[in-house]
Amino acid sequence: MVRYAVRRLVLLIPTLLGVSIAVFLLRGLIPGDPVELMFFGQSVDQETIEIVRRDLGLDRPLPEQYLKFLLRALQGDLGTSIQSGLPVTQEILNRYPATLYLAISGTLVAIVLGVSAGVVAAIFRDRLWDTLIMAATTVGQSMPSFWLGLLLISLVSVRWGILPVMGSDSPRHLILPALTIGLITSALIARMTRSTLLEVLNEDYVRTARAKGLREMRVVLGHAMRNAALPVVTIVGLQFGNLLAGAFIVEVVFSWPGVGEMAVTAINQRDYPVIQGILLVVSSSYVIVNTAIDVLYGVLDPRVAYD
Amino acid sequence: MATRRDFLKVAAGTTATMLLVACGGGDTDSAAPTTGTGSTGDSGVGQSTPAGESTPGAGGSTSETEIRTGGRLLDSLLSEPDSLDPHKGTLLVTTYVLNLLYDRLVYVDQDRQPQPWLAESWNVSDDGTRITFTLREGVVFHDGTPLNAEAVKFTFDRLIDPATASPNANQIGPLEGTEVIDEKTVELTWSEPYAPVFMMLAGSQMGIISPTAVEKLGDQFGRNPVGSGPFKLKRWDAGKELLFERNPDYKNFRGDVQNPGAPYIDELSIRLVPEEGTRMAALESGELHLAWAPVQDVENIRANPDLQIFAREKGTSWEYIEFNTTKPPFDDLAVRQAVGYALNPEEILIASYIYGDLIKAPLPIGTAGYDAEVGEQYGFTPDPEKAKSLLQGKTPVNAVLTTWNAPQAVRAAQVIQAQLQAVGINVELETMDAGTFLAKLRESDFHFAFNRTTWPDPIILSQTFKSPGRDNQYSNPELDPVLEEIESTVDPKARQEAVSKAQRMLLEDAAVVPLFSDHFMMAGSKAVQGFFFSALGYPMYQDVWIAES
Amino acid sequence: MSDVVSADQIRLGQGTPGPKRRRPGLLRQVLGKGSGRIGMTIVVILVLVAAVGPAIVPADPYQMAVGERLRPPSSAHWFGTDEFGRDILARIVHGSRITLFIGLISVAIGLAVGTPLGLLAGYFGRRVDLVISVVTDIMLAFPNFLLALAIVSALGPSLRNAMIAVGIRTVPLFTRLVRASTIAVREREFVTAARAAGARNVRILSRHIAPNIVAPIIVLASLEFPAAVLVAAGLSFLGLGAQPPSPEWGSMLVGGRLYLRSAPWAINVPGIAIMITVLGFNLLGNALRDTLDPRLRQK
Repeated sequence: MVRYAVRRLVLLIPTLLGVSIAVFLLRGLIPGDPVELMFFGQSVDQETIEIVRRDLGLDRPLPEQYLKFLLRALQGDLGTSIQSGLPVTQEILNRYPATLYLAISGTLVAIVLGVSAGVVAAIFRDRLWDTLIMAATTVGQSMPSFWLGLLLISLVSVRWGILPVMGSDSPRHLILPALTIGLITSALIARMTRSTLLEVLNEDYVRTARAKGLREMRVVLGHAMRNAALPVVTIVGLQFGNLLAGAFIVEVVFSWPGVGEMAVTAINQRDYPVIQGILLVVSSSYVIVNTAIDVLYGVLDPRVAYD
Repeated sequence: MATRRDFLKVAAGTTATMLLVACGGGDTDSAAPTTGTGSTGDSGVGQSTPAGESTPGAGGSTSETEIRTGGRLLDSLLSEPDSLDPHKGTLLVTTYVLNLLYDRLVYVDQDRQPQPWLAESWNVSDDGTRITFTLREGVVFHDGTPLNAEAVKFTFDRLIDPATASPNANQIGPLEGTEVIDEKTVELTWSEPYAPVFMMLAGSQMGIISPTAVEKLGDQFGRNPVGSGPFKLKRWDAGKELLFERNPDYKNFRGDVQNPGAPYIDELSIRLVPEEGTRMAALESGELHLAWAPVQDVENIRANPDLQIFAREKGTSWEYIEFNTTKPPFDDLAVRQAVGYALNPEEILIASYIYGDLIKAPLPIGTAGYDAEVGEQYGFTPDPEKAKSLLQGKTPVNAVLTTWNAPQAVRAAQVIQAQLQAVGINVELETMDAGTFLAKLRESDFHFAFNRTTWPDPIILSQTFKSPGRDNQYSNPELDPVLEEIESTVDPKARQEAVSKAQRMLLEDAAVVPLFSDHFMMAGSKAVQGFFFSALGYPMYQDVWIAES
Repeated sequence: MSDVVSADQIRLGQGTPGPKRRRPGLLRQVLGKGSGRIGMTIVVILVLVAAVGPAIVPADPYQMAVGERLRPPSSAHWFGTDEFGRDILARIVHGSRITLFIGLISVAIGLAVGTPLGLLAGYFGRRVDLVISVVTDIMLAFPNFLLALAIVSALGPSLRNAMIAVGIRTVPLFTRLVRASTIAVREREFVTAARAAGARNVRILSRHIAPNIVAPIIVLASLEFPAAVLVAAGLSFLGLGAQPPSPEWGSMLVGGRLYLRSAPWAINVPGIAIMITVLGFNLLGNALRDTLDPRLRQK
């Protein structure tokens, strides 16, 4: 158990290194010379370009450049935004809390919706309610998030005037974007809850409980749910990591000032240091969250024996 | 490390015009429909505060209504300003924000005449190369520094100092130097007469900056601006909001503003709302008091009892096609002309900006010097057959149409694509953010572009088309002297001749296909009172107050 | 995009013994479920529309008629017209081909690259496995929408690049699934027997292992298909996918989003089209999974 956790944590290092290499190499994919891109629109002579190239170490061999990139990143230096001239790290730090906040809220909504839908569906297995609920979550999962977001805005905010449309000033601002994310991601959680519950419900101790005459609801909530929680936790963890990035589009729709909106702007402005920085930060946190979930899973469920 | 702002220093060199390009929605020149703000027309010099009997600005307020002070006005912009250092900031959105923070020596009234602002009077030398400004007394910056001749000298010296590398330096023309005569007198000297000098001095990038703040803050001045304007920057949340508070000590010297002192509103919040649907919904739900109107929703806004439209026709912006004449396929005059005849500007307008005036001559319809006659005689009329015959033996022509990513521009580009397809020109679209778009034009890294610029003076032509090509690489040795005349001819009649001639030559060479001048559309809550646009198109907030709704 | 299909959720195939075990009842079982029936019906209709629709619908999906812009649905334009007066029905019908193509290409890239990698890793283990697994883990370290976004931002916005991006995104999912399934089958008696009989690796892989891991691959493919459609639509929403005047549904939605009030059909028709398509494949994929997942089959 402890060994498993240690192994997962040790594996974290090569993965993070790999992520940094991939992000570093992304620059090679970008058409055009990075220095010329920096001076895009500016008339500079070849000599200046060479000087800058040397200053940035771009005349060195790739592995050396990568090492430098890595060392800087480890010290929290992700370069400077071409657009604003501000340090990328600072800009990301300004925005990341908003994204985290939204991702956490979206996940909570998804858990509440998904678990309750899954529980109800499991109780009414193969009956009308089961079908209806599972169909509804699948429909939610099938909607493009920006369409759902715009529909919610036009209905809830404009027609009914209940909730604010944009921004992040108060918890009320959070409801619509979190709901959009929650509706879309709850399907998987519902499905997982339902299937693990059904599985657990077939096991002996549950049958015993049922035979003892416990009401179905109590069986489900009291006994089965506790044991069904683990796979659900895994799914939630995976979803959360994806939400960090998946919230990008929702952020744009709701003018939510997170890294997603920042990334989209940076792509439009071809601000590659910012794009690289966001990629590095978001994927690193994704890896870390996933590892944490894995370790948690391993600690909670000793049966886990990953190959 | 070089930043995008640095390149703009060199390249954006194009004055407000170009800055005002691309950022969808903006416009210059005057006034909401009901603006009755008096005292502008007369060229009387030196009036300070307007008389109390005139009605407060636009927005349907009446003189009986008691002005309600206080509150926070919720405004919005499409995108974030680049730098609030007037010598560094280049985007259209930036110019609006600079206008809140920095007062200028002069402003321009509805008749395009210069009026005293920080300068209470001035004197132009006989040869037109020297202007001596007499400043008001007792004006101080937000940080308490006195606004005196030294401060003015500091501002303009810094602007033209090569070390500043200001992208806005060329707005001031061939300024040679500044000299402090005494505490309240300062003299600016040009190497030759500069025709649009007052128009340019009135622009918000020519605002007077606090020397102490600049020296103290250095590079950080652009994030912590200190001017003498009606508002101070209170907070700037990147990507989200700029919050301004009223300058309680403000004294107004503009004749077109009613309010003699500090703004009525306590705070002005400018939210960044790029998504049009969100902006519209926020207006409807009351989360915004003001926003650039999404054109497709103007009818809905007009029909909404809680909302109003501030609109202006015959605007000073224009939409047009410009070509890269240095490389195929548009190095060929016949192909450029074919584009001119293939396009139907009316259809493009209806599907994109919706509201606008068609133009045939290459200038905004509301800009001084727009020559409708030249347009009729030398301009293009939709004639696909003629386009096809011009293209005979040359089709299929393949070209990339570059534009910026505002929804209206992208829609216009799509119609242009379809219309050109019909005559055998295959068009691929390329869209990007406004700054990148302008840089691409300057690099000549394009085939042809759908573009938009805004400025009330015909100097716009020389900025766009004069060699060696600052905004694009167009170069026409015969046209250059004419454009120089536009820059330096002070006599209105002679200048108009040059302006007309330039328009004719541009059409003859098919260097540009003028399409239309879009109308200016701002949407607001009915609670917003006293809002109007200055003659140069800046949203004006000093008279604004929020009625109880 | 927040829809996730992870190989972790597909734990099937492990319980199916024997070589070349055929499942004659698979289709019947899938169709036996209500959701499977609906899903299959949607998919069949979609394929039919894409195959013959463009020949049947008379209107030109590219023909602009600015005077006819944003007309509500009528007998002349069943689904109304868009912001350029183009017939939305014609664009939906022509766009269905693009949508199917996006899903197919993306899944095909994932299959073509991911399956062999997963087989190699799972079958040979050791160093091969280590290398492939590390690369897979790294690719999976990028949240899936972010990966697609990064690739497109580097390659430049176009439909082709969006499909490549979405395809690359699915590679590690297939690799991981195939690897896990292969490991599960590797030590089965019939494989050991074949190996003992002196069969070569290629033969064992193709004859004995591959057929036994088909089921989970089918399920993953059917679930990745709609995910790819959604990611591509998301890229289009950000201006990084299909470019005008393509009638790709995602970009139709983008064009129509500004007319939510004045012409709701311009956004809702492509929105519903995407939703129904994704729903169809999701229902089908779920039905397949429920049918094939041994743990759920036991009562």
